[in-house]
Amino acid sequence: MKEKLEEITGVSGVRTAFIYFNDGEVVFNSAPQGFDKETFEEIAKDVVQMTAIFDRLATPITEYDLKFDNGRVIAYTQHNYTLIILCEPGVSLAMLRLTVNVAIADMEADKKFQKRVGKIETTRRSFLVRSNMDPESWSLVETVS
Amino acid sequence: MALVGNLKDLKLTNIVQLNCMEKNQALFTVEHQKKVGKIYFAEGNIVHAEYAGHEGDEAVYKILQIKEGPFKVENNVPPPKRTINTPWSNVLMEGLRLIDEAKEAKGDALSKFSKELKNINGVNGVLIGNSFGEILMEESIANGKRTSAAMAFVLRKIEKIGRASKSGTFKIGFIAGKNDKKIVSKWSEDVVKLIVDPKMSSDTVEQALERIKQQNP
Repeated sequence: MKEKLEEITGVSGVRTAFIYFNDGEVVFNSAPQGFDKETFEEIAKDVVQMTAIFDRLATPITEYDLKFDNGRVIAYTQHNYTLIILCEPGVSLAMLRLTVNVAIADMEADKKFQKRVGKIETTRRSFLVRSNMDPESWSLVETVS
Repeated sequence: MALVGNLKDLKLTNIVQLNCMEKNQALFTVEHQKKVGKIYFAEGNIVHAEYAGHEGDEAVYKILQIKEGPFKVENNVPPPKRTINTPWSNVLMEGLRLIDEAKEAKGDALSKFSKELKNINGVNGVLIGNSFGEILMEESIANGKRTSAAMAFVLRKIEKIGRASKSGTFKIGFIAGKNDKKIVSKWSEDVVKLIVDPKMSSDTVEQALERIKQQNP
């Protein structure tokens, strides 16, 4: 897993990449300055909550490409885990997609990875609970439900 | 003892009417988007108001636009000065008239904006909603109310992700599903969602969207 993250981080314009499993584990190689495991967890939970909301609308999501003025956040959502990549604004998306597709295919073919993912019982749905969010966000979730 | 509440539960117009008709000397304070609005009552009228760099009648008009936020009313607070001499009912009427006027102008602007977005090649649906999840305009969107709430939720999350990842201000998001592609963006304080043909180039739609946003500030 970490070698695959290394390959992704090697793409020009990528600041860092990490994997978040729905049971709470975060896998990353090294965090750039100003980032730590807790920050990665916070970002990942927000991505999973967004994905869960789209699940509620019966419009499942596979990929996010979020552009900001100082960066770009790309996320690939799978059933029990999410791959998140923090990038410079000008990252080559074509090269990144190629590398990510190969990395995901390799990881998912690996029996250890399959076993790891197979153990996860926590669903995305369970991220949309009142205790996990502010009142305004919860009110929006209730409207969607 | 102060009266406390939230403007989503008790309208400002009711608070003004009560304090003026009872000739209370009181201070109404409301918090909204990290700003504080103040309205001073005395001698059966509104006598002074402050909000976001405005004073007097202008401040009251601005505060009247706030739909939600914690407030308190404290009795026996003297006003620091007098900047309003118009009877309270006239202040409210003018403030509400200005709100209606702005709503109508925004409605026209929204309609034009929405039509232009729908005309972008590859765009199959348009939804514009506010940050509370209310639909402002929609065309060819299924489950409009739920979708609008979802998009408001998603935008909150995206902005949070932007802060946590130190990526700055959100510009545009491309969200790919199995069968379609969605584009999320902001237009002033509102959320814009486009449903796009998955085969459509994201760059092409993004450029068209940005052009239309610039033409409709």
